[in-house]
Amino acid sequence: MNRYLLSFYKKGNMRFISHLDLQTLFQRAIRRGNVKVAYSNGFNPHELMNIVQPLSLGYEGENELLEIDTEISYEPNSLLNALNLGLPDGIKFTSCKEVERKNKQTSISIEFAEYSFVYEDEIKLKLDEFLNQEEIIIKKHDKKTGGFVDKNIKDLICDIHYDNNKLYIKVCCGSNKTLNPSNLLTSLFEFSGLVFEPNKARITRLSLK
Amino acid sequence: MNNVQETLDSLLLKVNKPARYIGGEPYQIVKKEGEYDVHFAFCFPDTYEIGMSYMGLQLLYHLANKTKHSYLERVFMPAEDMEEKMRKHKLPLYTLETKTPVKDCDIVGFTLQYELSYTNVLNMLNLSGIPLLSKDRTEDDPLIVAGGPCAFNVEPLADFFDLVMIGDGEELLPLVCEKFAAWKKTKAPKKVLLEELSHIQGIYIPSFYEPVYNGSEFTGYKKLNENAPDRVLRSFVNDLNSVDFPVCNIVPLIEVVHDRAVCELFRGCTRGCRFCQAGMLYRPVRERSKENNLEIAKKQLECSGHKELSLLSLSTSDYTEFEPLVNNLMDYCEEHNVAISLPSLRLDNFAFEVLDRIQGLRKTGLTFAPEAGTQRLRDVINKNITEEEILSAIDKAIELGWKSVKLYFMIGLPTETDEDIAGIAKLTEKILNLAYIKNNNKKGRFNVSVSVSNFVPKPFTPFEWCAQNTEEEFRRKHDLLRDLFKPLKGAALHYHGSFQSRLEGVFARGDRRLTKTLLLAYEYGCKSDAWTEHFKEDAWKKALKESGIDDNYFALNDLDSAKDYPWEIIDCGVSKEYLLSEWKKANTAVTTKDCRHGCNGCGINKHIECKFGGIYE
Repeated sequence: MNRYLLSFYKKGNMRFISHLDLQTLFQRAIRRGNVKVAYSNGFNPHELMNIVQPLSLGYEGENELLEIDTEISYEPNSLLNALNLGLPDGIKFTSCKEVERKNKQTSISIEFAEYSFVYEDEIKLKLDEFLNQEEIIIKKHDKKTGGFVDKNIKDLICDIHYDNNKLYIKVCCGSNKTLNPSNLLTSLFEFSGLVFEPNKARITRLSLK
Repeated sequence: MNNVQETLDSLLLKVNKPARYIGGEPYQIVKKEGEYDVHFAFCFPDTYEIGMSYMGLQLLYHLANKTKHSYLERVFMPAEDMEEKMRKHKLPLYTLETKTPVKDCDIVGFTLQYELSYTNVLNMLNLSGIPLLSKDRTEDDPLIVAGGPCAFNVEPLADFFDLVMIGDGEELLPLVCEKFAAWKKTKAPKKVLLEELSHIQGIYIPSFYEPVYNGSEFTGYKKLNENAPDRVLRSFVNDLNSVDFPVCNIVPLIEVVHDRAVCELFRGCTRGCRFCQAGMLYRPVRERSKENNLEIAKKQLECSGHKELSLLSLSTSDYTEFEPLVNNLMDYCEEHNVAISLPSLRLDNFAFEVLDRIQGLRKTGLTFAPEAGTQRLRDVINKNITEEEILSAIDKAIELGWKSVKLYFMIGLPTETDEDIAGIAKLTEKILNLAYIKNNNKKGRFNVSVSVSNFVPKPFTPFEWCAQNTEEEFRRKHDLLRDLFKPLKGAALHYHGSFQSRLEGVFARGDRRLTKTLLLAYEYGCKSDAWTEHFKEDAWKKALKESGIDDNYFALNDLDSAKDYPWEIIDCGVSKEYLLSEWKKANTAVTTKDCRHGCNGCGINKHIECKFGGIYE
């Protein structure tokens, strides 16, 4: 069995496709491209593939990652081309390389994600003051109680800076520590005396590292 | 792109399932302005998920867009949350592919699949900013047209449409577009176009006819255009093999009701069940060749990457080369990990072999449709299946490992008595007992799900003169069934809302007096009536009452077969004499054989060659 790591982008209207629907879309792309994907054993065999760190609905992604296990070995470029057959405008694989397949687990570990952010309205964010707080507390939805709990996210923020009216955000994004930029922005807006409206935001994930 | 897209960008994150509204799926067709003469907005009056599961859409999309003169785009009914946002932001209804406002298209076409979608037609016109009534529209408004099975009695909607296409649409729709393209260049008034089109078989122009009433009784039509035909004969496709069936269908980006490749094996049915409108409207049987079907099915799977293939028809195992076709496809599908679904299958021996193989270890649904609880009533409706056959099929199913079965019945059928209702429970009990014995006297090993629907008499069937049960009668029968099912452990009973069925009955055989009813119902907020959660019973009752509709006239009385009825302006190809003789036979529980064993004289062969009548004689 071989494993490949592919980068793809998901832009424009395709940001409205959910993670689950993206999985189905890739499963179809695999069949369309006649790629000999490996299947799980079990009662309901499924394709061995993994979209690394799901992207929230409404976000665009420049360099998203897909891992896929195949039954046979492929020349990376031919696999790339096979998977690109008949994808909708706005989703495309841009690179492919073979990676070592040790076990069932994912081969790469992601720790950080970088995002860019633009907002429809003109806004003044109190960025420096926000970052200089001792603690940055957000209200996080608690699945167990159904209520909200306070969480300090200061350690999860790596960098926020402006460049050309665009806000660049680097946050933790991994299996242990992860921060959704929407939560961060909600808190930042609130701190600045504003209300964050997700539909006015254009958030793009630039990379996963 | 344009300002529709800009508004969408700011709206879509606020609504459920935004991907319903973006288009952009693999194999959608985008044409540039100037590359075509006629811009056609194909409207499905329900949500994206339902409309995208409809094979006819993909077929007509493919055929219209193959032509040079036309560009056909898709339009669906937005869900409630999206509609609210669209109205608030003054975003008109738009086409999915190019985000063109529907109002700016040349032709706006609605497919009428079920009666309870009619208010959605009004809503979609309203969302487009197009006047609802044909008479209120100007030369600048698009031509509003309709087709689909409910177009055969389009009278309740006749005042809303400029033109209606009756019958097979795959040749007719592109022809209408072609004529439109030529007319558009002449800059002549719409009337000229309508008159020209009215001479084409299958085209009905409602405004050329005016219904005449004597009191509350319909007596006939007065022709307002002397050149219009007396009756409109439906259009036929002579040979399915001569019409291109699409192999690269649009693949939805989100989960829809039926995510699958589809191949229509044949059109029409020879069984002659008397309640079945499709069985009358789609005559005669026309088969696509085995080679064509195989190629279509395989290419569609290759093109789409779908995991399921569905073979469509009204009675799949009647296909002449059913065994070789299905064996070949099963080999292919097993190799490619594709599931096959065979709706409308009669459960004979080969069908079981097939089902056993395609369902493998995971036995899921097995569905029987006895339709009626006693042999007498099954003879009345000409459902030629005996209790023995049903039980032996169940026997076989249990042997092969099925753990559950679903049964379909109707109540409110003509001549029905409480004994027939009790027959539904008795048959269910027999099946449960059989399963109990087959499973070595162990309980809880087999489940029967019984789904009971309320019979709606449809025009162009032998039951078109038959009264529909009242709501009270339906409810009484539901209560009766509930009591009878109480002692039956392992059987679940499901039934439908009575008033929704009544409303279907009113519209199925209704006429233009319902225009006012529809307008009022729409004004009172009725839409998406097929959705139980959106259905507004009180608003509908108010609309019926205020529009002065004696709904008894449309649904609840036996009709006099000697009189004329509004839908008879359309000639469906099956003769009234035949329907009447079937109605008489039904009333004495006399069956009619499958016409493959000898022509029953339905009259369809006067219009088109019937290749299957009497082939087993």
